[in-house]
Amino acid sequence: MNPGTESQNPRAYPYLIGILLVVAGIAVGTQVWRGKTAPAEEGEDIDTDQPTNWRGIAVLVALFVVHALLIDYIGWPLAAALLFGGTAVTLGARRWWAVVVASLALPIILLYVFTYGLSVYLPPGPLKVLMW
Amino acid sequence: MLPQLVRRRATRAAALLAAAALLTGCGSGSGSNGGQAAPITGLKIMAPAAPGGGYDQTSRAMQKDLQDTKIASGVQVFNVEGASGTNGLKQLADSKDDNLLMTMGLIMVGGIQTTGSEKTLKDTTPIARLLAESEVLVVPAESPWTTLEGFLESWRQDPKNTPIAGGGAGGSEQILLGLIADQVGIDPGQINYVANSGGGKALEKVLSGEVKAGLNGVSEFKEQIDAGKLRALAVSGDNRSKLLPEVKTLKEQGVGLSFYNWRGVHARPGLSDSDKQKFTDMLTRLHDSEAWKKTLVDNDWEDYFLTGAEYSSFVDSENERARKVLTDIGLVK
Amino acid sequence: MNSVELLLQGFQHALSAQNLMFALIGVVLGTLIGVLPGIGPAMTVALLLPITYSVDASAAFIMFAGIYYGAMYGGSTTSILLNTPGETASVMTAIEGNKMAKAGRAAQALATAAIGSFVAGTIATAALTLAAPQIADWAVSLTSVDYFALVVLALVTVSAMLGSSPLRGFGSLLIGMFAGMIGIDSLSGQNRFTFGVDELTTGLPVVVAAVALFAVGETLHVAAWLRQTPPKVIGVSTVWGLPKEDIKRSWKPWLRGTALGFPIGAIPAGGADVPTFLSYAIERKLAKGKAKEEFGRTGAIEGVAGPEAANNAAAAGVLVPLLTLGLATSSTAAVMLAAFQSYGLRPGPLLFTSNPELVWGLIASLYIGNVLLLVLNLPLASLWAKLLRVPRPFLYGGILTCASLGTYAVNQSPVHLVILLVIGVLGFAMRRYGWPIAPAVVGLILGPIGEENLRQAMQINQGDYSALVSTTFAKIVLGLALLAVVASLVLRVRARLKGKQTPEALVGAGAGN
Repeated sequence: MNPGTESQNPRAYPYLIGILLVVAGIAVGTQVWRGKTAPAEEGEDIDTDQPTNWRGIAVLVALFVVHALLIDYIGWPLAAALLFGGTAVTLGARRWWAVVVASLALPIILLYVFTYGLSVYLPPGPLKVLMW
Repeated sequence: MLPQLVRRRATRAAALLAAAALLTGCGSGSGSNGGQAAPITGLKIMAPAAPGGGYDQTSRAMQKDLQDTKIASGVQVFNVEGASGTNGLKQLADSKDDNLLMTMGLIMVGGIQTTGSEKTLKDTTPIARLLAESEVLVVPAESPWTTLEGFLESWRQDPKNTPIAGGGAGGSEQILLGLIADQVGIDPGQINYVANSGGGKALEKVLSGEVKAGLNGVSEFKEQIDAGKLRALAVSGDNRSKLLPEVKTLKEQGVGLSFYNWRGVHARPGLSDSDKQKFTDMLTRLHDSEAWKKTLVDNDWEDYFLTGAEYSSFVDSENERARKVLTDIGLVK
Repeated sequence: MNSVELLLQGFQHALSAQNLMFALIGVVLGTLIGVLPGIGPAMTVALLLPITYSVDASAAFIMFAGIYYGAMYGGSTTSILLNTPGETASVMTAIEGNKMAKAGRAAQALATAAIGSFVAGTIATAALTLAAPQIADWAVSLTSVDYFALVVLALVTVSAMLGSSPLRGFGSLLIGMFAGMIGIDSLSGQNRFTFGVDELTTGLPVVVAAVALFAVGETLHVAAWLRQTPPKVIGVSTVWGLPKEDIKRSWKPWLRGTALGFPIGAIPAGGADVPTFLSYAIERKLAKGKAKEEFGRTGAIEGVAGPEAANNAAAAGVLVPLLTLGLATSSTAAVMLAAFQSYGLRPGPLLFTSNPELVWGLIASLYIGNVLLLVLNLPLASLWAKLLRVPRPFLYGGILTCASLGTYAVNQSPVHLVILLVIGVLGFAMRRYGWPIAPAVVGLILGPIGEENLRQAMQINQGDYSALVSTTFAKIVLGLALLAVVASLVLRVRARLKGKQTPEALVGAGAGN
């Protein structure tokens, strides 16, 4: 190889990582095939003895996509209120008035903190009326 | 090096200013500021690199001084990162916006070559060259070489075992090194160039002694040169650098070339002559202002102003020079 | 100028009204997220990365360091009162601490944790003050060969030591390293793995990746298996201090924990988690008489004092390679490294000379933060404990909202929100199938540093691979890396023969925060 371009060869390292990834993938695949699966990560709020709630996950993913698409139209705070409220209800919040109050309060507080406290811009959407 | 973040730090302030200008009826054409031309409005400056780099600093300095001198108002600056500036170039080349300017410079000239970008500077309208930085060649303080001549002699004898650190591949340092090699009779293809993703890293490589020499902007190395940790052998410009007045130029030491890492401003392709003249006048007024003179001093930049057809032909010659040396090095096929 | 003078100037800087306020925000926020389940310091700092566009560097790092230290304090509260550690480094505290709480000694457990954290944090910060400048001076002589060896050591230990499955840890690391390659290659200017998408030429944004893996992944994971019964929190009254007898039993474990934590944290290997289980093992071995009876039954205070001290000392230790070498060995340090990069600052041997105000202000703020944290945590412990009862639907709704905020605030791009979601789903899958998260984050940040140094070493030595072991330092470091792999395998095999869980396996439970 040209000595002038050894450090500029962008290919070698990706190949190395790629090969290692394939090896690791095969190794994990073999383990799983032989019945050696790893336990799911545990946590304070995790109870792996119950069946997986796939529906809940699908709803959260869909909510997030809607949230991302709506920001350009209704501003960040309202889109965030939808995300927060939707997530809370999906995870089992039942007191509707608490959900509504929290969903509106949190994004508005965050809007103020980021806009005025940290000078980080967020599109306020119709809530522009609350800005000064 | 690492995934950098895209930032639009000052755009909010700029947007506010723009909004304020709109609200106040936006003096454009009202001719109320006593004889002076009305401030140019709606100007956008693209820095084709990450925040904090040379293009970004240049763009933000232009923004500030254009506004402070009331030559323009409500100037926005934004960053388009990636691909040695060619991502930004692509955006400008496809733009129909008459109010869009892009800072660029020698590093983009090299980047277009090494990345094989389909858009080139031919797809833009050159406006002006603004400023330049001189490069300095250094060796570690404990190295045996005290003169440029001594270093060049050892380098010539064994170029492969003389690793030299500088910035990114195809950037100004590698171009300059190729030019020096060519000038003193070393095959540029034999240069052992150690690319770094920033001036700070090139500095570490020289200080650790694992490379024999380093090349970078004068301001990057100045502190360690003054501290006695690095020995400066030569600066690349026509004249000695104000920052390192005791360091001789390449020319003074018999290497017949002068080199600047320069930066300029381009606009979209097919810009009308009247708009081109408007921007040329704007930058000429900026260049003549006290604010800009102070900016140059504060940033250790050298004044390197040029406009019109002379600037266009300068770009062409720089492009040719870079293409030739990068081909010799083996970076451009 | 010597360290003492520089430190005094640092105090002057850190005690300015603005910086003091950021330190206070940092420690309060840190304690808060340390106590709260589902959110850790790495994620919090990642969420706050957008402030690097508007707040000056000193203030931001003072706040981040406060969050980092604060989370270590807060994590112990969760461990002791809820028996489910919020942070990896608090796993060991939970074992004896929760038993003590059940036996009615919650106040003593919380007090020894808080005072131990203060003692260890302060001693370790002093050690950092003395050692860091020396190390930075010496590190100037390190070559790319040496740096490559250090990166290998850090990567190997992070994947081998954490998690119940070293193979999955390694896989996770590789995923992170692969993601780190996306974008324009800084040395050659070529695009890699960008698939023609312009947004990807700048690389995968670290904020987005970290926030996605931690926050979005965790929320989805919780959504899959939310515990339906309310958490069993043990109540506690106001804690004012520690009875004489408990101080007598605690002070030696505090010092031993510090002595373990700082050096292990300071070598770029393993981060803050290893010393906590070493400390636990040692305290259990050394226990005599009454303490020996209490260990594993009613809870021995030594088993809380030691690991808590170790974890805070290690947190200070981890800052040594971060500041002097630019290497991160924990996910929080990795995100802080991203913050440095976002300021265009380069942590490394030259940071101490190029940005003395920032470095010394940060170090001084660590002393201040420790004092603030002691005050915040001792008398207010019962208040923090109330946070453990926060309704989970709201908690995770808030976490997801903050994840969107942290990502969107950076560049107002819905595209990045989509990337966030995709990586978040990956983070969920990794959690569900037992792949630890931390190696992926560390790999994402350290991978490119390793690659750059490897390629430069090859360039300088003209493609001679034997050059990678050409320096004594590189030999030692690579030897240590090998040793870490062997030791981890031996421990696991032994544990399997004995049929019981190793401390490493326990740590795996919380890996990811």
